[in-house]
Amino acid sequence: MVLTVHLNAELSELRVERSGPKRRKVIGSTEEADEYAPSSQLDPKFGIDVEDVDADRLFPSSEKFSGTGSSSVQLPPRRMTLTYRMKDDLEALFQMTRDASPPKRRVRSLRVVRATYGFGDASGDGFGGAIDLLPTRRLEFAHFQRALFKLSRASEFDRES
Amino acid sequence: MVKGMRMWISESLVPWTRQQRSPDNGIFPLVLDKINVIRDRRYVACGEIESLMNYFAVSKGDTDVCVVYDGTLSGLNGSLWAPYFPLPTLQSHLRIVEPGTYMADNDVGECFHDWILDARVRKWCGIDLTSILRSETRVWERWERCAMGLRPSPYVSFRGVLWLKEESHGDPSDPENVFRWERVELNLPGHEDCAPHKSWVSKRRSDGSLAADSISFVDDIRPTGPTEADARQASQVMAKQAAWCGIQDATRKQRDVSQTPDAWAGYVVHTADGDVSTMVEQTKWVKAKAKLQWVSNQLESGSGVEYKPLESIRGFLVYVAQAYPPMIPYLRGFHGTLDSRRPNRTKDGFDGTFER
Repeated sequence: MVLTVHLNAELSELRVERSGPKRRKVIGSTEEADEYAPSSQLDPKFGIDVEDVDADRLFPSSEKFSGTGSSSVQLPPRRMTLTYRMKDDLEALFQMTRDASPPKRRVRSLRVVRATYGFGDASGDGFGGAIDLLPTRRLEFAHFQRALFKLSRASEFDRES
Repeated sequence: MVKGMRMWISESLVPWTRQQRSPDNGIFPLVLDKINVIRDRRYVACGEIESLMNYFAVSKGDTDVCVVYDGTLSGLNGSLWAPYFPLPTLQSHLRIVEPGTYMADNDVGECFHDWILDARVRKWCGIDLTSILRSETRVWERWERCAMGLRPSPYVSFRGVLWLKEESHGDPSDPENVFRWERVELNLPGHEDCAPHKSWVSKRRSDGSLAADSISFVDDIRPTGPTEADARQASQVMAKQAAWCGIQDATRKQRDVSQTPDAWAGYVVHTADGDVSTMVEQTKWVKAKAKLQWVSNQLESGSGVEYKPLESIRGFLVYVAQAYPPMIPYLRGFHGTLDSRRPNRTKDGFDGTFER
């Protein structure tokens, strides 16, 4: 429930309304320049609403992009269709962020072990790896295929078994 | 620096002199307070004005606002240019620590306003204060310092902070200098004596210990040292040098040296218990989960997802993934979705130009 409230607050910050470029016009005087930024752009509460603002002013030449290579300014679409792998990726990301608190990730350590045997393979969308370590003799194995993440870990793995 | 860092002006500006609308009554006192502060400190002052900048307030928590001076609407940002510059990442920070390193936190106060605005640009940085001051007559003043919302401000500020770093680090061969170092040590995988707890490239003192150093994320400075005393001295030297250069050192935000300090640029780096470990702040973690939930809800709705929020979420997750690299492969769905609007894309959004 708390998350939902937080989420809504986030979305209110993220939402940006934008329209396409207006017709181009050479601005020759201050009055004409004012026409391009009418007072209706001002948000009654916090400030400016960029809707109906000339796109040339909002996106200077260095920020423009043209998706088709034509000379016209092409703004990104308002809505996108999610790609097929998004669902799998989200599932994996949910798994990784399932802890209530951010996990501490060890980057470097004074406690060092020596790898005596290593194995790894990558093919297509999948990857797998196995490693046997001394002196803890711990085996770690990771496998993901089409973004389905699985991690199995066995501490104190018995080499003889 | 006294006259202001020279800015790049790409084209002349068409004057923009739209009258500033008064903020909503609910936030009027908060905006007025902010305006009074910059006037009292002479960050804005009277002078020749050719063009105005619109300003507006954005919420900062529940009880405060941040006033942004919009250089885009007036066309000013289109007339100014600033070069690309890289910011340090979490990996940059990890280069200057190893297990046992002590870290401090210095903060530059009002980082943008510390820097004098280029004299040629000031006339285009006017602000209309008539409505906010409830004045009968027109009140126009102009920025004398780099403003929030002006395109070159981040570049100017960060460049200034890097100058501060260079100045404060001083002569590396001076034995009295806390930032002294003798050699650059390579500790690369494949070396016979490679030590996994050390960084691949590091500055070393004559006794072999890691040299004191610092890293700056714009206004967030993190001095480090091999011992508690060295880290404290490094912090002190940087604060004094900042004061000498006329840059505000916000002592109220300073934190004592520690092996388990609070966040730097949103990342938490600990060097205690024989490990160097990283994580993100709790707030960032909760935020990441909330954003993922939002995307999931959009996915279930089946009506697609708005471009801008998704782009913002992608950026945030890239930031979080710096602390958790295993997340990186799973951001492909975001990259692919956002790039699918481009031509010659495959069904998963990748560039299919050379696909056979």
